[in-house]
Amino acid sequence: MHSKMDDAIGILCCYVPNFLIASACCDQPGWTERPLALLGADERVVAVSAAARRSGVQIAVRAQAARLACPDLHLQPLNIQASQARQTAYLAALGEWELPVESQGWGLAYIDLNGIAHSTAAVQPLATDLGRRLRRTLGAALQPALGWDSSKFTARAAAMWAAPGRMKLVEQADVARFLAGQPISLLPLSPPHLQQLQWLGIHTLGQFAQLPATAVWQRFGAAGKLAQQWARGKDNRPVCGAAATTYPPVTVDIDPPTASLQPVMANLLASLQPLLRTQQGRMEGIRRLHLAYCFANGAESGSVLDFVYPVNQPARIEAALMQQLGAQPWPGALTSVRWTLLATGEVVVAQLSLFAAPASRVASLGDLARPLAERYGAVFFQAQQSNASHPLPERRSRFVDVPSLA
Amino acid sequence: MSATKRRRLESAVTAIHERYGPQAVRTGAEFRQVAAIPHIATGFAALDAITGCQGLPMGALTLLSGRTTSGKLTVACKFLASAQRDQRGDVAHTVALFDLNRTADPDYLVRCGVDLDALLVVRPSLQPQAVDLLGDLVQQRRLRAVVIDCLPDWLTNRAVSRRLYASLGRLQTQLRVAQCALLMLDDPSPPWRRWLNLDKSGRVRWNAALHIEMRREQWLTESGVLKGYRAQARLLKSQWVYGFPSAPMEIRFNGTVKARETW
Amino acid sequence: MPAIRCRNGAAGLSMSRLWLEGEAITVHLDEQGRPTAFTWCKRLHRLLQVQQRWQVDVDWWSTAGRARREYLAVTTVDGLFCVIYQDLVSREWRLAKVYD
Repeated sequence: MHSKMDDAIGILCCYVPNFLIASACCDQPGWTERPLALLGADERVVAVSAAARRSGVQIAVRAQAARLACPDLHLQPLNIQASQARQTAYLAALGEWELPVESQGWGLAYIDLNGIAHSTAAVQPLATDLGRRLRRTLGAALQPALGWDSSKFTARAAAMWAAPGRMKLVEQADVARFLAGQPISLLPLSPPHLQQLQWLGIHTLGQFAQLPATAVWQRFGAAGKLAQQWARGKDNRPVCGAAATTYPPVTVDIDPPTASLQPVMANLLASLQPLLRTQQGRMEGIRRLHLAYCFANGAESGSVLDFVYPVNQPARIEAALMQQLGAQPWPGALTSVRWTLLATGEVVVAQLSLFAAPASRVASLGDLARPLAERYGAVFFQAQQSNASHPLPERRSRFVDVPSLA
Repeated sequence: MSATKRRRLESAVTAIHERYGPQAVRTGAEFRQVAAIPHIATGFAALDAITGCQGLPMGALTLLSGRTTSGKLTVACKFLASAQRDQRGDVAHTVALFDLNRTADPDYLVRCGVDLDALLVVRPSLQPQAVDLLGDLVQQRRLRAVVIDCLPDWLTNRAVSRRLYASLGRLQTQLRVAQCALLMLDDPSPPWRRWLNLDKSGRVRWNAALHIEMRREQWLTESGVLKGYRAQARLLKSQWVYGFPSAPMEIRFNGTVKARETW
Repeated sequence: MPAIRCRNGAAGLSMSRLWLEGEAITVHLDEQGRPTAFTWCKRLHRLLQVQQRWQVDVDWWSTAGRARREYLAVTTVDGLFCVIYQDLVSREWRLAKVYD
């Protein structure tokens, strides 16, 4: 049998955290000082700065809801052209090695190092060189975090673990140990699945990896099975180079022809269902979709549906299609719609992980003590250093009653 | 191992895999990788290496016993500091210290790396309610680790010990659900008392996933000046390890307490 | 660098258990007035060595807060490492810290 160890694949993941925000701040340096959110074409938030996220602004919420969460919010439309230009420059810099580079959306790309470097000692100088080059090309604000491993998922987890400008190289022997402590929200599972795992007390990839495979399959389906394999460090997806995969077009006949949106949408969504199911199982989503319309009077037109992040949730697809078809001029009754998938991508983790935040469990001492103070009395204290250099040890610090602090 | 023996072993393993599946036989290294138990490192690599879970287990009870000046409180403080931090080293979790004998030294905690803003110090009176308080705190699911300093303070009071024994089962479930690590500091008992289950902490030990005993072995001096001491951590019980391995540790007093294993 | 460094009297020591008011102890002295043992918790702890000795006189402007003490960092025969002090006004001995 051909094992993964024998292949000794090496994948370098380059990840620029919050690429869209960082890119926008490069154009407008003044924006870095305020909580910032970027709005997509559908008037929903597509990117959130760290300050805005702390105030409770989430991706995919409407502008009004974002402003409610953070009245101080600086809400700006996403300049897609400028971001795309930076993404192109980023990918061009990654492609200078002439190795296969797979772009997976904003600021995330994999480089296939197979046959080039198989150990951390060999990868480190390469990664250092790449990091320096990217910093020179794109500036310090867009410098990536680098992660290396023999599988895509672990490489990405390593890149997300590392801080920008740093690298995390995971040797084969350390994969299980590294992944075990990582938060479950690294897996691009659907929000309900992530929430279920939270309720079950599964917070880390190590805990998820230990669940019986059959139970995971029953509860979470194909996506859960795949996610568990990734959590165990088993991910055999290859790095697909720049050569774009072509997908056959699918024609949806509207019978009888109609000028009404509702039956068209129903037919379109029904035809997209098998694709979405497959993509959900692979934790992928649609990035680009071409739509060609044929009307009863012989007229034809077309449009392209672009998603800022890959999407596989029917409701999101439906909303985007509705908006696209609504904005399209209809010269007559529609007889058929032909859709062609132009690009797919991994579902973005950061977007979904907003539903669970196991990494930040710093509870305020007041919140911990207050519910119990009535029953147990004044037994909760916070230690404080009052005068760290005092010659008498007992006068260097003190204990303060926690409820009274609150 | 000779090449012939290795080849024979490999062919035997392949035959077993073909017949019974890949899970039937695994190397020790593979087994270690699969069995990654959620844990919190103590900061003492030698100690972490013998526990079988690379540190102290989350969602379970650990008993750490040792005489005064054996290093047990240093291990506990380092463990609290480690529990507060995420993998990047940022303070990301809250922990609690049950300071039953009211002798916690904040200055020392800071020197061990504990962030006082994320440390809840609990000083209950010696009453059975103190045990309930422990359960209630864990049940909030907001604490990553709790240290009880120290268990004999509870066990010497009949009412409190009775409540503790009665609560141990429920407490274990609460720990498991909250994924909270509980470390209880204890005095050592002679082996014969442990063997006959005559020691007061026997019931707690029975419910502990891990029991470590610390012993100071030797003062470390340099030019006649005391600079620390060498201690030995011995594993008396572990859910994941057979036998009683031990680990040497060195604890130094150079301004900040530095922990490093002996090599 | 000495292992136990006394900067301005007592700073630099790393100890663990701290008694805010000091635990009252009885100290046994030899003919020269040097401590040889102390009794704490009804147990006699014979001193192995006095590792460090220093005096403090702090907060002299405050009547209530002034402290004039002589500190001793000692190791005992039964393996304790602790800090004891004598209040130079009341002549009482107290246990300040025990390394655990």
